[in-house]
Amino acid sequence: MPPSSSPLKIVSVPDPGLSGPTAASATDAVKVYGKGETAVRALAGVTVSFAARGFSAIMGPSGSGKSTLMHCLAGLDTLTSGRIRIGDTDLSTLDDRALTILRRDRVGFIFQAFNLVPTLTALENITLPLALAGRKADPAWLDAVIDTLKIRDRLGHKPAELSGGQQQRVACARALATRPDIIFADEPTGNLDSKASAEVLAFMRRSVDDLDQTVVMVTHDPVAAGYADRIVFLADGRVMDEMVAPSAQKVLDRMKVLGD
Amino acid sequence: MLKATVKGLLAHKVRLIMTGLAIVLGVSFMAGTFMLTDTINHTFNALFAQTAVGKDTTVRSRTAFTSTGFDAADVQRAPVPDSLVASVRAVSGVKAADGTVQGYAQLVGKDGKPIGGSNGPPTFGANWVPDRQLSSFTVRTGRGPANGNEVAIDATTFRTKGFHLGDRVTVLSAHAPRQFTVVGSLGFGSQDNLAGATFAIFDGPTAQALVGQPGQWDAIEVAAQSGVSAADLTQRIGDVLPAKYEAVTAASVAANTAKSIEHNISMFTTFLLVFAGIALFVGAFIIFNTFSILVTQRTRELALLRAVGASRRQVTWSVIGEAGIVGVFASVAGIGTGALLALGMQALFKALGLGLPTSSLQLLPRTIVISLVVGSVVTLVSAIVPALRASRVAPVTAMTGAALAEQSPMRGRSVAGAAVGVIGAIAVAVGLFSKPSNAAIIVGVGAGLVFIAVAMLSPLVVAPMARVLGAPLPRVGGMTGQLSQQNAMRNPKRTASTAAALMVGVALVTVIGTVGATVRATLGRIVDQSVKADYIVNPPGGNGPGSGFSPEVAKSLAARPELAAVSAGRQATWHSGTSTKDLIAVDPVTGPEVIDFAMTSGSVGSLARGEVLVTDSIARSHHLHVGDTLTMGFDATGTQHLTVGGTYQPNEFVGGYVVSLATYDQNYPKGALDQWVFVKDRASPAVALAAINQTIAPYAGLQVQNQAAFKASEKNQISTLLNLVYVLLAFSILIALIGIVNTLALSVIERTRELGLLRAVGMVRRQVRRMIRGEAIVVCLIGAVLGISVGLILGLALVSAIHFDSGTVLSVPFSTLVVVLVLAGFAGVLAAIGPARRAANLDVLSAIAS
Repeated sequence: MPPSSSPLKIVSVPDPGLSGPTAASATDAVKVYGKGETAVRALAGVTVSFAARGFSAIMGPSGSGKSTLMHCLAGLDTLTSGRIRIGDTDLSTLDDRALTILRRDRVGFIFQAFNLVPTLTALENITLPLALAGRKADPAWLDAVIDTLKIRDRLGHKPAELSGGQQQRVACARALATRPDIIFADEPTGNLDSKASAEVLAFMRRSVDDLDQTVVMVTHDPVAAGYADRIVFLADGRVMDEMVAPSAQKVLDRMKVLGD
Repeated sequence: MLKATVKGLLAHKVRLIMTGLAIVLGVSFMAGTFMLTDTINHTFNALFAQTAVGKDTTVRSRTAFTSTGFDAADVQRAPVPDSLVASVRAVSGVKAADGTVQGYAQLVGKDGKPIGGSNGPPTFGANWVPDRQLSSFTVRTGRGPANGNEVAIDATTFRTKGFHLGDRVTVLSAHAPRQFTVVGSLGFGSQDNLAGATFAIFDGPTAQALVGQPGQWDAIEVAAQSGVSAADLTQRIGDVLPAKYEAVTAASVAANTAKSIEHNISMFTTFLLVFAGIALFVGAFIIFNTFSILVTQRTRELALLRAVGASRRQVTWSVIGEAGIVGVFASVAGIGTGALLALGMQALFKALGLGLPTSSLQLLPRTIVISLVVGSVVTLVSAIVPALRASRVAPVTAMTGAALAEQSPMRGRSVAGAAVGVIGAIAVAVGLFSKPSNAAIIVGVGAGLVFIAVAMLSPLVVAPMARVLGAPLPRVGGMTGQLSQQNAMRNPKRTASTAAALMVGVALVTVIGTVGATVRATLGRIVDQSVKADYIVNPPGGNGPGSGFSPEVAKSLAARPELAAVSAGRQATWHSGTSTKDLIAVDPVTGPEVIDFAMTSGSVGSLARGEVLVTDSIARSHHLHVGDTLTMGFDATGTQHLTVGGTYQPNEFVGGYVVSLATYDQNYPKGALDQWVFVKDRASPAVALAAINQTIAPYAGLQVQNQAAFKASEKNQISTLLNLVYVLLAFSILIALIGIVNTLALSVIERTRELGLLRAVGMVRRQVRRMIRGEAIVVCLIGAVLGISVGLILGLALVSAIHFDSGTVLSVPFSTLVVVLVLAGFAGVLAAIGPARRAANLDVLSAIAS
């Protein structure tokens, strides 16, 4: 039996607790893959928003639609219906080029693996989006990022010369380098041992607290999710629940309930 | 395992089609060459068999010399007199006999320009043989010529040049231009012309006067009465002929003519096959490269096969089997496209007016067998090294996923490469400088080894070259350019072998360009040194074989008071033992005024006494001195002993031997033609030029050039040849481009995730395309620079081996090399189109997830 206090209702989730502008939002987001009888509704009408300067986690079992939601929020994929906004920009109005430039200038990415271009040094990888835009990095900001992530002594190395944890830290730095509106992290610690994971998550936490960044992270790891301010739970392409100020234990408890 | 091989093939259809394309092109070049030349041979055989129909015996003068090869059909025998026709007719068993004569005559078209000639098919005048059985010609419209004012024309010329019966037409010959009335059009059996040659047919005496000598025939054709065999008839006639004449069967004459043409065509075949071989050699690089990349990309799959129990041998054979299947299919396709190529060439010949009679394409079993064997073997051999590498995949790799070390140590490879290079260089040097009998083959194999050695060693220089050649890219394209540059360097072996394919073509272009530029420069200097004439009269485009123009031109020019010295110049071949040599003939008095002979002993004046001049290098090697006797053999007059009247400094423009025009006329009795007239002016250039132009005006198709223009046109003949070779080399370069497309496409597949990442973090499609394009440009430039470097070394070696008696003027074609570099960069842009589009259109999400 679920504890009676658990708010097990299907809700649209406004931004509880945290005030301030919205960094990204989905409204009635529907994503259908395939056609006819084989069609799969990966997102079945999701409405959710993420406040600026927050660290949010999206959780859910495999096939819940959490990755699809993140891809659509990040402008890597397009919705079948509904609306995605990054800041004031409605992504459905953008073509491929505009979406790419939006990703370059206003979105940061941290993937589970293969985050870095093997031919470029760590520093070149960090400044890659800026270089693609033909812009120079703000040196003060770049220094702050590099120091926060403690990678200064690794800047001249190629990715192959870095450990997994170092690679993910460089990826974090790359995501931060453009001072984006929002950073999306897709299982950023999925390939790391627990020590490296803890470091990377702590850095993501600090980037929100100390550098005023906005992070949305997809994960299935309760410990990782415990670093977030807020968790949105997805199942079957819908928002099932949310939790503010989570801890790993609370998340585990909640997942047991949702997993039923 | 066969199943795995076939499955492997099907899984990479597009890549293998691209790979196969390299072989398809090479094989089609080879098969097309065979088919084209077989067809031409077949056509000529059929034609000459047809022209022999109705004739049984040919009577002609004997010649002391058996020419083989190029000149066999051109033997200038002494003529036979009219009177001999009557004696032949008197032999029992003769049904009909008549004389024939054929020589240079050229019709002037309605536009005032001479028809045919120059470097095209020859233009002939011949006599009308009234006897229908003996005649090679059949009347299409009108009739044969009946008197000295009439001419009949081959049906093709009649039709295409818009002639009508009753038209007046000017005919150029060894005599002054003359007008005739067109009375008929003629065919040869079912054909409208004879292998593209134009024919003007006159009555017997007119033909003799125009293209032979009055009262003299080239030969007498004889038809036998029924019941008398050709052999019998030939025997009977032979018995009654004076000793200086011979009777041979018409069939053997036709066979000999066909054989000499076959010999010429076989030289053409060999020439083309060399380029087909180069194309296949380049194709081999592509096969090697593609299979290497495929094996690397399939490391896991191969490891899995090994893990589940496939032996090393089975893995090796699965890759070789894959290559074998590709090779066979590509060869079959190559034969097919070769047929198209041959048909295309036929159409091109037709469009160029070399109207070879149409005949169905000849696909001989030999063509199929050689094409299949060569295509398959080249593919198999190229795949051996990748196959062996595949067999070294450890089964555990299936689990660990470690990429197969394509970066095997460079050390062994460098040593092997250096060894191959040294062997190749020695072979080239031996072939070029010690001049063994099969020098061309040794030099060719040596050059091939040098190319392989450079390909093996070039991974060492790829990174620095990419850094230098790609340096402008980051400056122009920023991060995109930097990525292009680094992608070109990230796998030096792959970049090196991709660039190597292009290197071969570029190196050969450089070699040919260097040799060509040097020959041009040397020719220019030779003309400067030896031609004293102010003006040269000759046909534009040069003289075709056996053609020239009327000696009347020189006579008329000599009569002009505005001109100081006029000498005709003629070229001919003569026999020295078993070899054939060239001589030129000039006027003994005016010749030395227009050509500088730079005499070293004796005197030019000796020419007037019927003596011969030789270069002092020939004199030295044959131990000849002024006053000695030189034995020269002529088709018409047999062995003659000429006194050496002087020696001169070697000079390629003049050649080795000089005689007077009178000596020439004695030994080449039939309708002598001039090839040049050299003129020195007396009056001002403008007045002299006007005088010349006025004099040559009736002789359509002649031009006058001043010394500079003459020099330029002599040089241009080299350029024309160079351009032909460049076109043939373009085939190899095309194949190299396919290789670059292939490597880029495979690299794009390999870097799918990286491309997905770049797109995710903000690389727009245009930047993706630019990045791939930049990489292609760097690879092409590396290939071009390697090629130019190797080509310059080989070219300079070749040039120093070509011995010019008068000294070589070394010349490097810098402008050509710059053009090559620019074109190489442009080729990179072209090669990148497909792969760049593919990379730009990758789905970002699935690329990241892959």
